[in-house]
Amino acid sequence: MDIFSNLALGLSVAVTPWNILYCFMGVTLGTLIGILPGIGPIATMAMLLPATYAFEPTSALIMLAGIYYGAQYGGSTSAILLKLPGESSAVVATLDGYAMAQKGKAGLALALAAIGSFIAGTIGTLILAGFAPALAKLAVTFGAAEYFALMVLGLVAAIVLSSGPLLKSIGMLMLGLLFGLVGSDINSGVDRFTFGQPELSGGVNFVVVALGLFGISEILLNLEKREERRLVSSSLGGLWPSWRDLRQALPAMLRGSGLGAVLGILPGGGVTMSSFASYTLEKRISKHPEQFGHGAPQGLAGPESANNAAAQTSFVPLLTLGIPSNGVMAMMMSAMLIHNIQPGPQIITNSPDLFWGLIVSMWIGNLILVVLNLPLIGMWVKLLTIPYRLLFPAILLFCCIGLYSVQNSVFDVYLAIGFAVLGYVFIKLKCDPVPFLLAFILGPMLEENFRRAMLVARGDAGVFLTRPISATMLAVALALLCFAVIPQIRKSRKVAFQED
Amino acid sequence: MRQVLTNTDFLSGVLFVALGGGFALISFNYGFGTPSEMGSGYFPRVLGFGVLIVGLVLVVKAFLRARARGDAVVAFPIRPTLLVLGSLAAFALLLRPLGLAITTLALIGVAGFATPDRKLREIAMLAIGMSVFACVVFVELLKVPLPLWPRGF
Repeated sequence: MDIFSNLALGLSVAVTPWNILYCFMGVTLGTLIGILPGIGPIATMAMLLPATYAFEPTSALIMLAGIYYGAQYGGSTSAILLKLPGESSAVVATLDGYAMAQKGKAGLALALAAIGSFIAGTIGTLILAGFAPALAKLAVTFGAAEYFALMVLGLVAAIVLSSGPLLKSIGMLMLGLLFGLVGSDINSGVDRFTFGQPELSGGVNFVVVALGLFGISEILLNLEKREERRLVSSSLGGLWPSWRDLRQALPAMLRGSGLGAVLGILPGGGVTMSSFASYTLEKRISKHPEQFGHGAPQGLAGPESANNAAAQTSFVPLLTLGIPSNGVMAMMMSAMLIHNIQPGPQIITNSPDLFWGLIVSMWIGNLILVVLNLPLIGMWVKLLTIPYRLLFPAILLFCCIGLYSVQNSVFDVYLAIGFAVLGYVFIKLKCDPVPFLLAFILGPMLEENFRRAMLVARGDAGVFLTRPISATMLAVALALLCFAVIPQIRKSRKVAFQED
Repeated sequence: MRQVLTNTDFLSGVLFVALGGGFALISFNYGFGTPSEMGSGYFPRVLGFGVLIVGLVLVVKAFLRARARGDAVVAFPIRPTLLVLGSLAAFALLLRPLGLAITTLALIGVAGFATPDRKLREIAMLAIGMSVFACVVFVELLKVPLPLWPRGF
């Protein structure tokens, strides 16, 4: 019964005209930018974050969450129509989705993706609502040692799941932590690594790192590729799936939703991984695995549901533990901090309206995606024909405006140029920037909790091993790391990310 | 030898050594403290040396596997990179003195030349269109505090 009264509270927050409008704006902007190849959800959210400064915290978060799953949906749209995944979790949709589009069933493919996403969003929302309060209750008992161990676990999971070679990911992780430490030290007030720049004493802003590493360097990479777009020119075909199509795809959607919801909760948040896992599962249990890759509806519906469910449940670690599990959640966390909300277990008790309002708005956002985006498909398709040479200067302009408005200073624009160069070099050297970004946002918290735990334990590092919860989490982290080193698993990890 | 020098392991190793070493070196300016009362230099120094060690391992690995088919770096195209970064620098330099309307023209004008399939008329139209759009949407509607016109207007 409790869960329903909570959802009712959320409904009362989310269903105000303004919040619905923000949700709608977020979803539409997200879809718009997600469809455009070459700019992912992290950069999109970083670019639009300054526009939400003036909003109420709840509205700002509702809009940003809308941008996130809108971008995801948009990513699969361009994957289906162009074989160009707008972002990494849409890669799987280029297989059977594009094959369906080539057969003249593009409309059906888009509809299945949207319906699957909606079903997954509903299931994900329910799991989030049921699971989060229990986890938050547990998290309230955590001390500094547990928090430290939890962050270590999250970071280790992130490098195990990252696409780069393990050793480089470890290096990237530690580098990210170091960059996170720039600015004044909370304990002593000493300015660290600021080179006397007053703009740096508050630390390097997350928006600067996200836009530099992900937004601008992505543009640099895209400019290298010869542009090649093969828009499915023939008609989209019917939009509405027949009963037979639905009956064929529905089990795959449900399986994908379950799989994605579980994988999404795990630290390291596998949104991309969940779509690959679902594809593998569907192919394995199918009676006609040979149809996969040639337009099997299950091969599209399953993964599309999985990544949406995972996107939904990846909010769990952030909202209950205060620990972001992937780059997008790191972005959400920095947005919360900007609006003076400390993510963590206390959110549910201290601001239940924000917590439940955000959760319900995610479901509404998914509804808006189905109801509005399918009829708008013609418009999105037109958008796809805009050449990249006209898009990237506009994206650069939005990046600059976003960077400038972080602290109304051009200093951050210069800083982002530095991070863009760094990010470009990282990608060229096959160093995955995602662990860097996660570590960057966790750096100060990790140091703070480590120092506090050690202070309480009078300098005895054994404290992390004598407290049962912290010891368990560190053991799991170690086990994960060992797993990643075992050659067999390394090989399959490579396979899973080869198309990344 | 050449194979080693263009190997991604080797180059990222060098990058890690430089960055990690830099952080570690600077952190000697901050108090190290004791394990129970860590100074502001403790954490960065440990991490800095951690990155340094990872970098060294990568460099060694690159030499050990020099014979194997190296993971060579693809070329860095200079021109588009410089134009894109230059357009950002132009924004940073010009925004305060000239305002958003003119700065946008400069940014798009510079960035537009970064692709081989550019068309002069198209860039000009895009620059004007984006300038109007940015001024109306960001400054007028979203009230982002950006200077709109050159100083003194």
